Amino acid sequence: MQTKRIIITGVGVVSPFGTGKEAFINGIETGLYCAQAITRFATGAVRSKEACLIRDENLGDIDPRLARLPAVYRYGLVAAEEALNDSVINLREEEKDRLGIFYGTACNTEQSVQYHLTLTERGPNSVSPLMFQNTTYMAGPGIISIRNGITGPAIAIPGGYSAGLQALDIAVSYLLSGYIDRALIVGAEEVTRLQHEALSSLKLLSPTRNDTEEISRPFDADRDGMVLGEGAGALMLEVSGNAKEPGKKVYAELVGIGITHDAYRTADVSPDGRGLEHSMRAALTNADEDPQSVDYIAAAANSTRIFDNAEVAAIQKLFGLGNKTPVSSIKSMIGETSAAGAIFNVVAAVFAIANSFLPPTINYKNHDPECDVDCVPNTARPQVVKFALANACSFGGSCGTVALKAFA
Amino acid sequence: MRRVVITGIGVLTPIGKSKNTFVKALKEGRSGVAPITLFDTSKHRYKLAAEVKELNPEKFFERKDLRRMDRASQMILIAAREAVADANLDFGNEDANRCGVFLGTTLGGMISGEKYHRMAQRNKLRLSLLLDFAPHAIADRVAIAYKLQGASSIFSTACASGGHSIAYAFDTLCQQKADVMLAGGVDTVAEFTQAGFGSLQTLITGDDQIRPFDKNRRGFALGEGAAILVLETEAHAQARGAKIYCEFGGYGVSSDAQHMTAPDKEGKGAAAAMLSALKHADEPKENIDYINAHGTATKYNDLMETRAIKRAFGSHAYQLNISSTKSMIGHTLGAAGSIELAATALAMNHGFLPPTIGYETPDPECDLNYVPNESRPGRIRAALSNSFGFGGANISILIRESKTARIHSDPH
Repeated sequence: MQTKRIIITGVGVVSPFGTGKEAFINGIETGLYCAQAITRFATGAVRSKEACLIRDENLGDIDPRLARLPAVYRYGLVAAEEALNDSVINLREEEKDRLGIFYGTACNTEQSVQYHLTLTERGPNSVSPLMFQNTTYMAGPGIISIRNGITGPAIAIPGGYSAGLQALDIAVSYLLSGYIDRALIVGAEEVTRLQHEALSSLKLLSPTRNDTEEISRPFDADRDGMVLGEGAGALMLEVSGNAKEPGKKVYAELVGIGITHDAYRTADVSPDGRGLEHSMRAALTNADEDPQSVDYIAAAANSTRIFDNAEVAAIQKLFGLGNKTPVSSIKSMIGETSAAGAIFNVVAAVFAIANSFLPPTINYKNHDPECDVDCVPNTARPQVVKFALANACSFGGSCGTVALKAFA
Repeated sequence: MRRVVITGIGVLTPIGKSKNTFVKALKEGRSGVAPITLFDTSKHRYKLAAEVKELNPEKFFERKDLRRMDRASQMILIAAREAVADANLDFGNEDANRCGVFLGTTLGGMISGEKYHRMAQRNKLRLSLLLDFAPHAIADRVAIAYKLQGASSIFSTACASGGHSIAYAFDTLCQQKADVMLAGGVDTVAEFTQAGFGSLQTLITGDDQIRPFDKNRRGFALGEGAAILVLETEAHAQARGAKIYCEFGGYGVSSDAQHMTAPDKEGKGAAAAMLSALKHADEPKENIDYINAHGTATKYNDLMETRAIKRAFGSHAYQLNISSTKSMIGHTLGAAGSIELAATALAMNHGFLPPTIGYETPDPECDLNYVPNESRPGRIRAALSNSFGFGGANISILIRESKTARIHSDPH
């Protein structure tokens, strides 16, 4: 049991649904499907032709000086500033070194690919300091820190699909230790040609047969791979006692977190789901709750056999076979958004609690006996959610779970 | 607060490929800087780096495994092997869910990534090269090798990465979320960074040396290497009868929030990190005998760091022994924080002060004691290890002699 209470007081989202949390809430309530044909780069011989992309990469009227940033850091900045302004209107000078930035980030950006190309095609003396600095993972948190004068710790975690929850874990630890009063957590990702091409060649992306078929379908019997997505999610966390201002908005309380590894194989996920089983168990222990009290699980399942099966195995082991705890995957709508996905799952669980509904798993047609869970098929369900889990799982075996409750 | 101790060290550096050879080289003040052999430098303006020579990975790994293993993965696994053996750890006796790994890196398997991109330009997709290009692959590989099912994470705070990973292992242990953590960092000498730092004009050239704090300092050469430290709570270490190198006292972090690549000139952020480490560890500043400086030998950093040390320590600044082991190892980026903390712990353990080599001409603006050119015998009761990164991520780590158990010095 945590001695201090950690609350979520700000949320920011840049997602394939649009910019801002309202678009995200509307998207997961109405079950909007965001996959579209990729036009940003040529898909050539790649079997998969679709992704869930941010339509306007420049995000409207964003400061033109930021236009040269890699898209992923622009998404992260906009989401972070939304969460920041959602929580604290005016950050006082003395509060700026008591705020930390914890940034789960993509492993690659289109700009770093361009850097490689410049290096090999035009030689080492053709790269510029700006290009170089934009390839570093610290560019993401660095730009948030510089633009907002935040002088507390800033850390980038290029940790794969569960990076966002690793960032959250570090943030919670810093808050509990009293190093900081507030933490801004960001998960950000952009779809790159490299990633799309590689995952498609590894047959992890669902092939596009015709452009009307909805191919992101977690838990469905016919699922045959994921669709990539992108964007950024941001959360502002505070220790409860610090939220003094009367009428302060609190979205939810973070009551537990578990970060684990399945120690199975590189670039793989243990089929027995032990990584997620252990992370869910750790989060529940941390929250001092039983599996029975879980009202909703925001799933890591991404429409691949390997992820979905591992997660179902983990849930069945922890919750019992035939268990009917609702577990849905918003990746059916926005695709596998990698480093951003973990935070999107937390945001989905937060609004399930705040707005009393279960986001659906859309595109669900055929029951798979291997995935015998209540996946909230196709339409959102009104329901009071008091206690929810949000999962993340990454190739390579690192997993995480966050436990959230309504704040009372 | 629970006490956390360091019970195992594994290092792979340009001047020593094991703990003992590293200590010897630090004492002798050897330089690892030489012309680059890992890639063709004919088009590069800057041709020097501190490479790990004769890595001989086939001595450590099966040939079939090596085919898919980046140089960074090889280095971190070799360091992990030494650290685990040094700590006399048998993970079979530990609860796997309470053991984990935190690593710092800026590049991960960049050499594989470079190769992938070069081949992709010729329309050849060698997908196996992408396995280790993902920066988290190094942590996955260590977790898998030792079946560690607790927390794992990758920290990338540029040149401070290797410090952040170890600091977070400390937190995780303090908060009783784990029993044993492997923590450290790794980076390789890659064309990617050689060109990048070349564009920033922070690298030395010709037959120049890395001369931290010297009036004529012109920057650094990149280095490569890996370090892994074994951290556990003192109670856990004592229960299994482990030898203890030192106590991890605490750390401080801050961000400059000024500029992506240039540190704050007055050193406010760096001073704040050092002061916060002292406070966090509850250690009086007079007990600090040694600072392993970030000391990159750039005009800006060394002046800023000198000012920061004065700002944090006042008159005690002049009593301190300060050295930059980067003068010997080069700048190992994401590994630097962990290699330098290992150097600090070993210096404490062996009773000597590592030198700043290449030091010829005093700089009136950098007027502290930098242990010039030759190591000196000396007791270190407590020490700080500083790392400052791009984007202003600063960390200062405090270690001190263990109050309960002093390890015997190795005879080597």
